[in-house]
Amino acid sequence: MTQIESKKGMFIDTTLCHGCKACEVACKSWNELPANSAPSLTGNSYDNTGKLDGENWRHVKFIEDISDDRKDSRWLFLSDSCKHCQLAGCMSVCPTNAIIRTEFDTVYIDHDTCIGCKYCITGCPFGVIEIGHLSGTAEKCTLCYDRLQAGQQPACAQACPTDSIEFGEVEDLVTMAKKREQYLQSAGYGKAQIYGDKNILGGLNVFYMLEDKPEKYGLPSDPQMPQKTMVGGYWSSVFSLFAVGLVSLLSFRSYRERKFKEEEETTTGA
Amino acid sequence: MYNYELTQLKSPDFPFIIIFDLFIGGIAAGAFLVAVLLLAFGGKINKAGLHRAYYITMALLPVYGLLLILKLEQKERFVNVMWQAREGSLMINFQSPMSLGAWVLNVFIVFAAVGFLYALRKDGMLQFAWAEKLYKSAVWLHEGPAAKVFLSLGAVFAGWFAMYLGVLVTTSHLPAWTATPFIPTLWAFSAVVTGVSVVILLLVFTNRGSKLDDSIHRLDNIVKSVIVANIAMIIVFVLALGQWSETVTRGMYGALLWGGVVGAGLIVPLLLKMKPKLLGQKFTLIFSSVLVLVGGFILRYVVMMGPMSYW
Repeated sequence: MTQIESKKGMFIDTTLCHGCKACEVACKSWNELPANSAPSLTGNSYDNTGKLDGENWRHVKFIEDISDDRKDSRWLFLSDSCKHCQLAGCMSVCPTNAIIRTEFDTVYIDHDTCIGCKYCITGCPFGVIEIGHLSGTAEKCTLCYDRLQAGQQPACAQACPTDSIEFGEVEDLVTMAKKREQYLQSAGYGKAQIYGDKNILGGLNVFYMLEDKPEKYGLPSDPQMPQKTMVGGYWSSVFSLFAVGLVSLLSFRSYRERKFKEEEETTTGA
Repeated sequence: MYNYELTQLKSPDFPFIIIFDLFIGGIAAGAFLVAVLLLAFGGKINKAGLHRAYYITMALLPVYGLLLILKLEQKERFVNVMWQAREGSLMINFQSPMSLGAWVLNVFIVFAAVGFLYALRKDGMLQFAWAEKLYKSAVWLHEGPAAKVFLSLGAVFAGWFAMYLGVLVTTSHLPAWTATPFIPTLWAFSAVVTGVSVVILLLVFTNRGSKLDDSIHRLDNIVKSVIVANIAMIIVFVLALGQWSETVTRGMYGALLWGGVVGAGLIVPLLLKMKPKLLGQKFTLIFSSVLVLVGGFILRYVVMMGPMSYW
């Protein structure tokens, strides 16, 4: 077990983000991730990254929020990445303990232990992880673990020109976020809210200030651990084991009885 | 836009090989499960040939293990599932059905090996003097005073093994897999129906004279009953999927599910089994068993690939 030395995280204030993608570029550059193929149209505004995957550990979402009567419109941006959850679904299903918690309380994939079974991909409630084509193992944001070890901040936070990505101690960041939330609400942004406090998977080390409800950003309002239906699965297993055993034994017995009757009738008839 | 369930969640994109894995594992477990249940609780009637189910299990488990390794991206590291080199300790994660499943497989292999030795002794095959104690232990475990306990434990592990991949996909975020807890149930019924069908085929082809006729027909009776339960379970499963049912009923997957699994793989074999004189008894047994196997394979294909291809 790793001793937690400090709780590092990021507070991403989406109200300050202007979608420049400097964070995406810095992430790719520092982590030596391969460049994406020629820019393509995804149908989502200026988003040509598409999604988080093995080669894209950070992804800026572009949301063109247009009212139903099309009179009002606005841009929403969200610089998405691994949330380094306190209750990490990926970590909980990993069959080799390749996904570990570091001394900075972040979630990290040990590539020497990962077997590439892909189970963590579907264990993550945010669709963050994917297999890296070069490594052949699960890949995601490390919160620049190597930089943290050297006392530096993650590359994305350093590159952000608007300080939308703030790095630091989670406790300090939460205080900062609460102040910001109060300010935004008093300034007329009634739906402004923190996403990722303790009621979301025990707290997200990378959490957000959203301008609107989470669903607008493609985030779940109440993400769950992958084990939410596991108990049901085990119960249905127990039920089916009994059911199939009983059906087999009864069929076996009924055939025997039928045979006996047939044999008796044959004997009586003869 | 960014719809959480449709565009944010990801499919694990397990390779196609997992279908063979599920299919082979199901047969191995189903054959073993029914054999131990009948040997333990089948009463005092003729059970000739039932022990041969153990040959099937023992032959298929290594193939299952190999396929399990082949589906990994880092195949050479498969041992990490059982040994945590970083901490120098055994690896087990009770929250992970994949981790538990690996250990269930290990325990099941032990039961299968004991059954295999018992079958060899019963058939008088490969009797090595140096392994005499092992054969005797296997016979004692099957026929001694603790036989029912041993066989019941074997049934539990066979059942667990048959279903763990169902629990595994249920423990995920792919909406179509988590919408219902019935995937393990589906695997259990299909494991028995396919496993017993393979046992029937083995007995039909190794039947000298009519010594095994009784066992074959009793097993066939089991298949008939479980086919009915399997059809009912498929309907319950599709209904329980709710809004995600189209992941297994749309286009090609729907055709395969209703035509391939329910029609050709379950209803046609059931009708054939009910009218055995139509095509001749032996041919009916063989043909219907093969159809059941094809249906079992397609069922796994539809339930795994249908949802994965949707995301």
